[in-house]
This record gives sequence, C-alpha cells and structure tokens, in this order.
Amino acid sequence: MKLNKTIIALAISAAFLSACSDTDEKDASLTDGSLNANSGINDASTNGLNKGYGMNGSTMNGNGDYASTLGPEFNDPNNPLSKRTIYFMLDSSEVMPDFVTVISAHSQYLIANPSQHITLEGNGDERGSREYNIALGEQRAKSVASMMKARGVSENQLNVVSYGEEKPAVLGNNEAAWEKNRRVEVAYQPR
Amino acid sequence: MGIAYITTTNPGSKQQSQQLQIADADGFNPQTIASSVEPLMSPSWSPDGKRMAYVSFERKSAAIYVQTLATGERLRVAEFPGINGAPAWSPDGTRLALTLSKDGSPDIFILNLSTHSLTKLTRSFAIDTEPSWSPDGNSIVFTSDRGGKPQIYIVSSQGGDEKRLTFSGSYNARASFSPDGRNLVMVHGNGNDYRIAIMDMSNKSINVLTSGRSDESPSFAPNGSMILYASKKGGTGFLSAVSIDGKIQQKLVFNSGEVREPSWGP
Repeated sequence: MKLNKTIIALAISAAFLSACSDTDEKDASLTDGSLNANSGINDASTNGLNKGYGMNGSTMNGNGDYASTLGPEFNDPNNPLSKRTIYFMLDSSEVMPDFVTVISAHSQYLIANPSQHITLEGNGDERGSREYNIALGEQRAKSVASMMKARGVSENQLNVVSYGEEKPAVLGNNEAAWEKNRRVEVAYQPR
Repeated sequence: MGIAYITTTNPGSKQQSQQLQIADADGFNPQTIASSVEPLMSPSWSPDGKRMAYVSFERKSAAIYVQTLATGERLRVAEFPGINGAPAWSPDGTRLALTLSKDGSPDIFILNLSTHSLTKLTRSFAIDTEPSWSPDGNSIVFTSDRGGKPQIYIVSSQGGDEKRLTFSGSYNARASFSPDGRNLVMVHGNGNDYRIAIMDMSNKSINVLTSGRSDESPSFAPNGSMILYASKKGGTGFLSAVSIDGKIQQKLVFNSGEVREPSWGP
C-alpha cells in the first residue's frame, strides 16, 4: 500500500513535469493496472475510518410500477395514462405540444380521483453544471404542475421534486441518451 | 490537504449507492463520510477543513447538512420546500450561502450558522443558484438565467445591485474565485461542449482550459495553481486537474468507477 502510494505519487509528478508542452491527458502511467491495482477507493485494505451514515431510501425507480396497479387504462398503450414521462428540449422547461394530451389525461384522472397523489420528478441531461440542472429540473416539473393546476387539479395532490442530472433514465453521453433524460416523470404515490 | 468528491458504487444495479468521500489530493486514503441510495451532491469544505456541507436526498427531497469530520456529528441546516442546494461557506466560516426555491424561483440566501437567521440575497423570477464567495467575503458570484441563458453575476454579500460578469458563450455556470480573488473559474458552454474556463476579473477575458464535451465542477487548489474538475468519457465520470494556463492536464485515477463533484479542501 505504502509503496504503491509512493509510486503513484511519483508517477503523477513525472506526468505533470512531462506534460508542460501540450495539453493532452498524460494518464497512461496511471491507468496501468500494475500501478493502481491495489490503490483504489474500494480496496478492502484501505484503512480509512468509515464514519459514514447508513441512510435508508427507495431504489432509483421505487414507485415506478405503482401506477400500473391503478387500473388497465394505465397499461393500455393506446391510453395516454400509460405515458408517464414528459420530455423536454435542451435547456428548456417549456412543455412541447406532443405532451399536452398526456398531461390532460393525468389531470382528468386526478380530478376524478381526489385521493390520488403524484410527485412530478424533474430531471435533466448530464451536460452543464449539476446545481443549475437541479434548478432546470424543478422548472420543468413546475411547468407540468402549473398546467395540471390550470386544468383543475388540486395543489395538494401535487408534489414537485427535482433530481437534476442525478437520476438519469439512460446512461450514456450522446444525444439519444440526453433526450431521454430531459424529462419529468409522473410518479403516482402509494397511499 | 485533501479533496472531497461523490462516487457511485454498483452503478445501474439495485444495490447502487452514492458515497461522499474525502481523500488525499492524489485520491489515496479515501474515507466515506456519508452514504445513501438517494443522490448526494455539492460537497463544500468549511474554510478550516473541519466540516463539510453537502446536499442529500435521503429523505426523498433535498436537504443541506453540515457534518463535523472528526466526530461524524451531523446537523440538517436547511430543509425547506423545493430546492435546498449549492451550499458555500463564507471565508470566515460563520455563514453558508445556499440556493432555496421556497418562495418560487430559486434564489440565493445566506444562512448564519450560529444564529440560524436566513437572509434573502437575490430576488429575480429566474433561476439564481451556485453562489460562491470572494476570498474577502465582500462579494458573491452566482449563476442566473435572468437574461435567457445561464450567465455569471456578482452581488455584494450585503445585497444590492447585481451585475452581470460574463458575456462570452451561451452558457456560463458554477463560478468560483481563485484564492487571490483575481480570477474566476467556471463551466463554459457553447451549446455542444461544456468546458472549464478561467476569467480574469480585471479585463473579463475568458480562457478555455479543457477540451472535454462534458467538463464540470471546477475547484481551485488552495495554492491557486491548479484546478480540479470532473469530466466524462464513455459514460464514466472521472476527475482531472488542469493548470490555470491550461498547459498541464492530469487525469486522476480511482478504482471505484464513477467519481464526480470534486472539491479541493483548504
């Protein structure tokens, strides 16, 4: 452990010194398995004191399947209630016309079922800064919430949370993944 | 001297969890100080290096915690409806600047940690977030999209006129001061790529330092010579350091997969 640490510290210094003339990443020596095989954060032999807190919480999509238990209309692909994700353009919280039907359908369901509650979970793609993406995700969720309120849904049936880029639906750094991650999820809450 | 960062273990699996860790500046001697299956974000060292402020979603919505590193003792200092985010310590360690959306749109507030008094600093109807203090404690820079796109603004930490600082690029966010207060480092985007840039406060010129597509979370080393930041390649996050002239780049290697949101301690 100690020896590995020394070797890597030297490798870092050497790479810094040798990199003065260009901006390329000089990481070859560091990614060599023989150097860092025993030095990583998850290495069982590290002797850091774990003062961490164990925290309980749901898994990533803990409530994802609850809506499908509410009735057949939530599983019928021809019914807009089966669609519970609203997608957005880059850096935008404006609801696109394609999703108005979906928002209206959930609004009507909530008005007809006043004991049901939803959380509108706002999300963004991975680009840009994380806290700004939290703000953008909240703006998206609030856009959907205000459309629902305008259709008559009671405010106390609606909860808004933003996860920013912290809970991607799809992993990957390309437009195909990003467009699936810029979204608001309509999550029905178990009572 | 150390760094703090967030890492994901077992990414994509049911056992996925987030850890807030601190380690030596080269990534060695990691210690987990908080762990959750829900997101952890925005670690910020107190100026004396003894405490860490961070955001945790462990109660299903965002809250800001301050944790004493030596004892593990933890206080929940902000849990308002909506966003509780982006904690940043004042240079004297008595206050936190933070982002709250309890009044509607996200605004910058200052929380006095001894009196628990909360002061609203910005009042726009747009997004205001990512506050960071000048080294003398007199000013706060922040990100706002009040002009349509996210740009960097500055305001006195006593409140008052808010002045726009960045005019180059369609996206400038998450600024923080160099230790000497002469430069700002930020995320600089052109619509496609998001890179780390440095701005000279005297003439407002911007110099882009990195060449990634998705670089973020820049943080100055205490001596001001290097900037630590997060980058992504092939879907995996990793940490890199770059010299303030952009000439020296160094990837830091961790064995634990996704590593992000580095914060260089005092």
